[in-house]
Amino acid sequence: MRGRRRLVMVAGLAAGLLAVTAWWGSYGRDVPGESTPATRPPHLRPDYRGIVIPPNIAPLNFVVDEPGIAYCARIAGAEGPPIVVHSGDGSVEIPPGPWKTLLAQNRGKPLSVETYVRDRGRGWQRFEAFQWDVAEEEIDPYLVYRILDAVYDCYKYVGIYQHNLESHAETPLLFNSEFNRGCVNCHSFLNNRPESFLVHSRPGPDESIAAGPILVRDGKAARVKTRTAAIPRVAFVTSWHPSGDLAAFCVNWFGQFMRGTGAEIREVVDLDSDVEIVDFRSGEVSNSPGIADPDRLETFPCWSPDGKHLFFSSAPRLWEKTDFAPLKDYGKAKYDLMRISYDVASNTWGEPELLLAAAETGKSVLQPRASPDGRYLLFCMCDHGPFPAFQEDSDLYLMDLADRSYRRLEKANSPRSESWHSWSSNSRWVVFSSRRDIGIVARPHICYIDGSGQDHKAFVLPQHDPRFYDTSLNTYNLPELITGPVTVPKQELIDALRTPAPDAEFMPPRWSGFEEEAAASE
Amino acid sequence: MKAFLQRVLVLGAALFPARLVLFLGLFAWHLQVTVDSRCVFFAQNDLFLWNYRFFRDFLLTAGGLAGWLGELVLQACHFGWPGALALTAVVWLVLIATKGFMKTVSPSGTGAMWTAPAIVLVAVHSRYDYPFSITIGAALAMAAALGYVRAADRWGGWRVLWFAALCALVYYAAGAAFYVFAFCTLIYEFYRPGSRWAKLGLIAGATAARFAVERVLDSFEPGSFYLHIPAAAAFAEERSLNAVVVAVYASFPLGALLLADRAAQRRRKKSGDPPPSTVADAPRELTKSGGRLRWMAGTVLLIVAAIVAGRIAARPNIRTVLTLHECADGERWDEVLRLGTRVPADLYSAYVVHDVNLALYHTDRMTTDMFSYRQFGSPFVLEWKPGPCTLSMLDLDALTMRKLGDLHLRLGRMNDAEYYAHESYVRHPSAKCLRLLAKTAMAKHEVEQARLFLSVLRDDLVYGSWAADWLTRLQRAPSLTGDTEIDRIRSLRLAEEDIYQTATFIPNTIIAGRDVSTPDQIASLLRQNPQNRMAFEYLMAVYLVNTDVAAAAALLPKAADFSYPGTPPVYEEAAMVSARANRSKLDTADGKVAVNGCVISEQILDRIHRFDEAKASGHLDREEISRLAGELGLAYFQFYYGRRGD
Repeated sequence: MRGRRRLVMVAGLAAGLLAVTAWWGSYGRDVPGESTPATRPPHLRPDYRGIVIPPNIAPLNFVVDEPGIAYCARIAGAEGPPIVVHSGDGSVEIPPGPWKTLLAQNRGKPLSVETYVRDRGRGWQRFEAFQWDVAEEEIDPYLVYRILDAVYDCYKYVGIYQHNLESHAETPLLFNSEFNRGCVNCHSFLNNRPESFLVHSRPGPDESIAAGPILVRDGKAARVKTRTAAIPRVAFVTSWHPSGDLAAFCVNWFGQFMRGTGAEIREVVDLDSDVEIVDFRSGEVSNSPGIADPDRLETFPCWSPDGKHLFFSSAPRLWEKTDFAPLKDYGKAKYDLMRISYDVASNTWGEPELLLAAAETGKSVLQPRASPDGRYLLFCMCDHGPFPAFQEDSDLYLMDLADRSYRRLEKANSPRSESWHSWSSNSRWVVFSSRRDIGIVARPHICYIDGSGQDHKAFVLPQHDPRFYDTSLNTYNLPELITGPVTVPKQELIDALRTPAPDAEFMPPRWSGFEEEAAASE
Repeated sequence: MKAFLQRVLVLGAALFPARLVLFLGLFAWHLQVTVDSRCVFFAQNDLFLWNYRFFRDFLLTAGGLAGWLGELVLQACHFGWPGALALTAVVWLVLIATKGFMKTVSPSGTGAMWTAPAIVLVAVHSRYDYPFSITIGAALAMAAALGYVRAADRWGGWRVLWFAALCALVYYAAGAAFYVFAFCTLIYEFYRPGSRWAKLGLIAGATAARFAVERVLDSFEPGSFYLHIPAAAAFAEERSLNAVVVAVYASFPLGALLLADRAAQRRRKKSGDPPPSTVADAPRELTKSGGRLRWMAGTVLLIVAAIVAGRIAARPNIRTVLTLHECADGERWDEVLRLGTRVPADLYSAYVVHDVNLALYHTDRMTTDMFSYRQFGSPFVLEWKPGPCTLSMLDLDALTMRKLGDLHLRLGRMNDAEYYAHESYVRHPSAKCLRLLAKTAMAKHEVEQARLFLSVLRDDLVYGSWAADWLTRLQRAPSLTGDTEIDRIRSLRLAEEDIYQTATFIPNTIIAGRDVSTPDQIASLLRQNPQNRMAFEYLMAVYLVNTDVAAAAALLPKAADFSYPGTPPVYEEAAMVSARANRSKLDTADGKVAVNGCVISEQILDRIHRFDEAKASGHLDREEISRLAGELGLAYFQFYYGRRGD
């Protein structure tokens, strides 16, 4: 018995020793004493070189993508002790505790990152140091996004997740294996707060899940009526009025098809599209000619932070409801950026006002999102169409609402599609979905907008595993920044999802041309 | 040393009794030679990645460990014998544990009871859709049951607790096979003398353990899984059971029940029971008079029963179809064509047609021998129309999409290949899809995209080395120029958008769908690149199979763009059918007969002449005309006259 106890003690000590050795092996030692300088910075995956980072971001773990058998990274700031990480395979995993301390001590100051690589038969090589500038302003600590396959037509699993930007922790809010493989989409939060939000659902393979939005408020979730006899289409993208009493929705019918040419094969057209307003106090659903002109296709509504204007995109309707012209003319659909004034007290609309004409830019102007301080409007511009996420050339542009001047975000954009952008509540950080790395899938990227409206190099959402993106086949869309975690119980959301739509009696109409076609084929 | 050797021999004899070894030899042979483990791999294969992220999914579900091991053994089946041997080893564990367990239940002898599960295993492993995880689960359950009954006496008052812990462990590792363990051990306990309360405690312990494990595993969010998302329904493990699995699982407790009951009856008859023995039964039998003969007779009986079970359960025709598909995936075209002649009519599906036609094209025989093989519906599989004679064990949606993706890539329609490959992957993640996606991305110059797919595939046990090789090539030369296949596909790519010529929107209330025509896509491809021989032959094949001979005849002049030695015989026949159907006058330039400028050979004209003569000599119905054409070597005439009016 005594022998066994001794054996257990020895085994415990050995395990402890091994753990300490492993820890010591990965970080805690200093940088190599002797090294040869290399005249270039190292290749990193993800590319985190030269970026501005929030002072509350989780460790930016990365892989040194250089051939070698031993690696070392030293992260140092003007204040506090540096962090040294050693690695055998190039993975640099920064310890969270010291990282947090280092960021706190160096808020508003730069951090220098030195990397060392030892190759077989050669000594240590020291690469050119690169810099991380720690911003003064924090980013909202939670990011809510939708994860799904690189969807073309069919999806199997889709979920809405929240990611703690301060710790890498990701938790699912809703995952469709728990509600008959229905679809969840278009989540939207009131004023970047986690307490009130809207999330939409669509039927899955068995059509048991109703289409339409679910309103979450005060810990309760319930379906909302958005359809009437006059507006029978299903609502999609949402924008909350800052008062929380109203929301603007897209009510569109879109078609998706696959192009035979080009790098991005997916293409979306609005066959029909309007904007509607739902008043949560009275349950009234309305629209006005200004936002639902029958001759135009209106989409992507966004309220100004003072609630006095509604921004949206609008294009002339190029096709009638009788033919299949969208397949031929989809490239001609270009959306203008509009706004319309609104008086919430009297529920009256002004006249639509053209902010930026597609004729002027030659591009489609989409997804306007006003900064919470009301100073800027961030939007996408792409060659054509209503869906920038599937447009290879979609870029982010920033409009100064004071003088309506706008410019392309030179440092944040990439040669591929940027879309689904969201502001941090302090108007200093922007998160958006970018297809820059792979093309077929989008990943959340974070970008700092400084006080003068200048953008800085965007970087991909950090993950605990620095090789995470090497094998991630999922797409992340609609990343929305919020100031705290969503705490509504998952079951509350699922129960609401399973309830029938309160407006189910209003069936979306089919186009007359299609009905004839269907009848003929029968 | 001698004592050690003796102990090894005794242990060897206990672990590998001669009768069991004989059975296992037969089992392995049956699996490899009759069933063909490579076909099992083809029918069942999912993506299997050798990394923790993939393994973690299995760790967090009941029965996941058995599922993961089952998938691992399945990967070995790709290589043939290694898979058969691995599975034989699993069956050995099942049977040796069962034998040991039964001997403890009935110390006076197990008779041939352990052979019942053995025969069931031969039968179920003859099926191509039988998941290996069931046998592995049974092995784990019976090994645990043996361990329990051997140690039960030592646990005393803690027995219920140990039993519950073991139940939890078995349910976690083996899923529904837990019931095999629970029932077997409870049968053992209920036939033993002991307190009734303790026995009820065991039932309660087993139930509690099962639900406790479920509860713990339920705390893991399904949204945090990587590829294998667990079913959200309650009693998912039990719901997944089908008749075959129930038969396998039931064979163990039923055998145990019969043995235990028989042993109890014996005990009641004789007051002085012999003490439990662990000595192997074969030697004891041999000590009896005529024991050797009885042993041999028993062994022969077992072997005969196994052979009969295997024979009855085997599906050689299904094997032929699966081998054909597997050969097509491996581009072994001659083998595809050889097997194509052996597929019976009731299994000749659109997928067989698709693979055979692809093989015909790649062996330059499409224009000559296409109608020597069965043709119907379309020369390739069609989206949403799997047609008759399909194998229900295959995920047809995913297979259709993958085959269409592969076809489009070969044709040069890279974007459509990407679309179909993705659609297939979403429906059923497989290494073959990832391979197709990587190839498509490489052809499209999408280097980072290709790297992503290859990086995932690198961890696959079967295609990992292929992926690693391409990753190295991409590292060396990202443009991949110089690779024959990639260059060929790139040279065929579409230059102008043609979506409006190939698709139409279809009604749908939320998102409008669309109807895409593959024949129109091929026609568009040929319009844009008249040198695309594959597009030409496939478009002709579409017209010919649809008996649209007018369209085929109209397209015929394009044959001159390709280096055929003469007008291909199938096209000549189609042209003649068209000319006769339209009663159009044949061109007779230079004394030669031609249709649409294409000269018809003397040989074909002679056959048609003889065909007309024979037809005119009697009043023949459609089938007879078709047969007559076949006898005269007019393959397309045979098809055309046999098909028209269908």
